[in-house]
Amino acid sequence: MSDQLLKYGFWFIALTLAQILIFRGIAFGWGDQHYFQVLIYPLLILILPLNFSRVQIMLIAFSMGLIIDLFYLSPGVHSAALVFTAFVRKIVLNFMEPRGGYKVNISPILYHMGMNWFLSFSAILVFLHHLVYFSLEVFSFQFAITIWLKTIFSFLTSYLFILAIAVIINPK
Amino acid sequence: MISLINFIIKNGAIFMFLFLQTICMWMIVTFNDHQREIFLHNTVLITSGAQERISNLYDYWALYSISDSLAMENARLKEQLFSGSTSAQHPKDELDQYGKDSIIAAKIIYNRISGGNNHLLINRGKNHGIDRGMGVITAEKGVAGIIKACTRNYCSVLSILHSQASISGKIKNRGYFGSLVWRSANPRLLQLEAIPIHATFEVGDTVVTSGFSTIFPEGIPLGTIQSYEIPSGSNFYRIEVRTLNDLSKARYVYVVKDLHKAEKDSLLLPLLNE
Repeated sequence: MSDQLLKYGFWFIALTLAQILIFRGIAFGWGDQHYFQVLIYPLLILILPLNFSRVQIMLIAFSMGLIIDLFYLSPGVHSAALVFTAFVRKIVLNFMEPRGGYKVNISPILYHMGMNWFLSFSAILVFLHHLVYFSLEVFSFQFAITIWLKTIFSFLTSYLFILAIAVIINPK
Repeated sequence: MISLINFIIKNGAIFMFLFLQTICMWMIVTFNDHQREIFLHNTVLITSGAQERISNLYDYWALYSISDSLAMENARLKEQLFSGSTSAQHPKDELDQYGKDSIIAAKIIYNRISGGNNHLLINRGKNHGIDRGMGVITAEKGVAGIIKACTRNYCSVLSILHSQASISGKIKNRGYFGSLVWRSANPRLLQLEAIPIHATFEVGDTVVTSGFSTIFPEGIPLGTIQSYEIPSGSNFYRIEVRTLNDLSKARYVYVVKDLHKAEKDSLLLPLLNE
């Protein structure tokens, strides 16, 4: 357990720093809206091991979201989206359970679950995260088109970066 | 009791989710300007029906003072009518300007003054010919704000007591003009900005609308100069203006509709965009 704590503590800090220092600067669009944004920090919620309880994951998501929010100057927006992601993770995991069930205590990552499974698992969660995030950022369904455009464009860019990181860190 | 605790423990994830989301939503609408604006705006529009009923209830107690103020205003208007539009007190009479404006009377059904960003809600809307950007003046004396959004029967008004409200005003009989904003916490004190230091005026001078916009006609009294100073190193006065009436007590307003607005804007907007 303390091994796990050390390992995921490291990923917590590394992904937060990467998001704040590097990926926060990558944002472009037209008009006064940033349609392309890169949000890679939901990766942490994806790779947390299966023996973490739902409440633990939500608390981790909440604290990470708060730190990201501090640097994005948007208290609550990232936290709400990430807590939501942490909450639906279990539902998506149940929905995508392989025929033999999950092995105990593993992380749902590439190495254990295979490319196809991880591609769709991360796509669903990252997309839901982006949808909630941009709904809360725009905060008005009068601008539903803006929400969808931002979600789709940013999902594509974030998804590419998240997959790249997941492949690079794929452990033996 | 025990079964309730068991129920909470069993469904811990869902309760934790709702708990954390409540904190997040609270933070979103408290600390984010953009989201708070939308939240307040929607709350006001959704609850406007109920607000009107509550407001009607309060009106019974306020009837005496309202009829009094309406009678006073009638008297003032009659006086102007009989003494002609060029009375000594109003060299440029408001009514003169209203010739090309139409006036729509409305009742305030929501008025909250707290913090830096205040709004009003009035019981007239698009059905009565009101649209965003029109000026709102109070029944007594002074300016209430600018129409911000309209539904069919209601409008929300950006109060003059809002950090983003700015009204073009001038010092009566002296001609210097600047913009009137609200920077203080006191709802009766406004600040007149951008008056150059070579201007001459005295404490007690009246500030009126300049008429340099399509929002308000010229010459509506806004307040009197209470004090002024020149901040060191600045080329402009800092002038405190005391409003003539207390906006928190206003119950009736008039919406000013400039019938030539589209025509004026078609000339003005290309200039501003250059």
